[in-house]
Amino acid sequence: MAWWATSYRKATLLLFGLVLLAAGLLTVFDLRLASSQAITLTANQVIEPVPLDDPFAAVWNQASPVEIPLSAQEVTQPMGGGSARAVTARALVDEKRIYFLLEWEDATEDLSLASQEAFRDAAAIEFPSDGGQTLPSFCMGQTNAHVDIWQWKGDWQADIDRGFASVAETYPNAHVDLYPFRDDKTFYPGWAVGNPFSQRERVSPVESLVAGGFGTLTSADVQRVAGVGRWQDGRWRVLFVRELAVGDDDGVRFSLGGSTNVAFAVWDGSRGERDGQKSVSQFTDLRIGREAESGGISTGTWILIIALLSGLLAALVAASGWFILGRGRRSP
Amino acid sequence: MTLSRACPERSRRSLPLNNVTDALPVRGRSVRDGVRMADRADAVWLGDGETLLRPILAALVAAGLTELLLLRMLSRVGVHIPKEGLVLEGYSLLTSLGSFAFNVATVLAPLSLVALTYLLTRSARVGPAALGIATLSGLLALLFWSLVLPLVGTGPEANIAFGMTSAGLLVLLAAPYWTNGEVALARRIAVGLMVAAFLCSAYYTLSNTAYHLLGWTGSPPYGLPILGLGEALVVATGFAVFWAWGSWRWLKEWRAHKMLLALPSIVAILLLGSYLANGSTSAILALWTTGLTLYLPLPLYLASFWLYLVTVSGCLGGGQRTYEGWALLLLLVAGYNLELTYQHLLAVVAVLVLTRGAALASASASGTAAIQQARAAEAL
Repeated sequence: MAWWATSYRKATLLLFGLVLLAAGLLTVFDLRLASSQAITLTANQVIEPVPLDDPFAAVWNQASPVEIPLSAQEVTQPMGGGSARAVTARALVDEKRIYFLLEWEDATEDLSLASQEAFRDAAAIEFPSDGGQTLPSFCMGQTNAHVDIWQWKGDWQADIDRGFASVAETYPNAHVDLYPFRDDKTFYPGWAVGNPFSQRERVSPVESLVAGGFGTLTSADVQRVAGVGRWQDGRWRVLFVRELAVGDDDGVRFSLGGSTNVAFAVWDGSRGERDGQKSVSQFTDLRIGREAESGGISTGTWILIIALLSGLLAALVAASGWFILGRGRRSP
Repeated sequence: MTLSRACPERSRRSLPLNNVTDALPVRGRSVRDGVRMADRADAVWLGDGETLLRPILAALVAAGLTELLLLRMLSRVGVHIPKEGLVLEGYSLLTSLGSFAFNVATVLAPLSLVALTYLLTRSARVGPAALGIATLSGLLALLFWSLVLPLVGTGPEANIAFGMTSAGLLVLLAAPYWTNGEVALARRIAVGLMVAAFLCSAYYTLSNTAYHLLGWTGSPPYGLPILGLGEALVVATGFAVFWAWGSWRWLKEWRAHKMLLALPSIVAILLLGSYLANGSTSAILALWTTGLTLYLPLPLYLASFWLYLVTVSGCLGGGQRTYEGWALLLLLVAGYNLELTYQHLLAVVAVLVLTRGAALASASASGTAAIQQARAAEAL
């Protein structure tokens, strides 16, 4: 057999051996020969203060908005939702805090959860609890990779802005002759034991939650997220704020120059959306601060890389031209 | 008989033929220039009638499909299903296999592009010289970026550079194909729809990134509508692919083509069943695996997907259009939203094989002929 035929077989075997070895090494060391090209939400660093009570403040013009497509939640019961087709996400960061602003279209302002047929508007942000080292399922995470969720609730916002809506506000025409102990916590078990849904005085319209799979969603022990939501001209703007530095057990950790992942969800109360019936996104890359934008590479390094690439391209173009034109001349 | 078989001399310098796999690879050509050392060396690379490209592409398709099924689908669905004991071990094993297949595919994807680029440089000139040079430069730039980005990390500048290179390359590959009157209209339309869909997806991603990089506030115009338009084009591509590489005879004479239709039908029925049975797990799977949101009526997706799979089955089953079958499978693995550099490479490899197959075949033929003549000389 000719040497080149034998060499071909050897070359093929050697090549696939090397491919498998390379893939094995990548697997063992948990490396990837691919990088993300997905859309990225960047929290731009700002110096001027970000108003905590005005989601329409001019400082948000410094943020880079990203339009995130949403779809109905179709993984677990109760399925449905999907009335919001997209949410525009913005993020800012300063030395102390990180801010997220969600904006989406909603024809109605739904702030009540007091009656059985009423559902509130809401919005949520989700992060991998470990900061993105393991990317969990965006549907409430998984057992080995939990998620942190910040949910802004329209009714909680109304409780803060207008005061707690009791039965009298919800059903103004209802009448009772006598309602004993109406202000005694003893007779309101939920209120008495601290059920967050039963509280009458709220500090923040945002609830911080943790989850590790379906059916595990739990209110976090420490509530550190503030926020405000405002409805204007058929659009919601909801602001979420949290301090950058928190304790190990106080929620997801962010750092200037770092990156993680973020997903979003929106509920439209007037369309009966609640619980799992919502519009959801997949995880999107989140970069925090200007330093993160170049993946840690300085501008000088980038200039060097681009210069090298340009030189390489020029050489390749010249070589390709010589090769193609040369072949053209050789061909009879 | 294809043009290349009828007239090998012309095929070395002419535009691509209609039926790519009729010509790639080609056996039994006459050798005009005799056996040269250069051709012998090529033969080592190109192999005995089958280029090294063939096993690389076959392995890439196998690894890509494995990672699609085990990593992107099974691992993401299975994580929500309670498991213990043997089931848990089996699940862990399969997801590890999926992760390994992903790594194999990410290594093979640039290798495929290297092999294709090499063959393209050996092939006859396709279209204007400037276009050929630009295409080769684009291929090499894409290779460079795909290998550098995982090492240095990504940022908006890098993502734009890579995305622009990828999108520009797809246009460069498709442009001569669209304008080539020798290529069947259906195939030109099919490739046009594929590339247009990718461009819609690229517009959404790159315009958002560019806005951020330039510090512009607001959202790029028509971002989401164009993303939705691209999804509609993906659906249309399924029908166009069947028109281009399939045959109505397969459906009319379905009894004679039962084997060809069986697997695509089973897959389509499974998808429909999962959609009807447990409330559209298929919808979220489509989003995870391909980036499709399924906003159009489901029957459209099912019909398009079924025809696409029938075409793949027909291409691979007959053995006549293996490369097209592989290219279509690679497109499927790449998906609509190209979220990884690896997925970009798959899309480019697929479009390259679909549009430049005949040109590559002529390069393959020279190596094949060389080794055959050498064997004949050895036998004498």
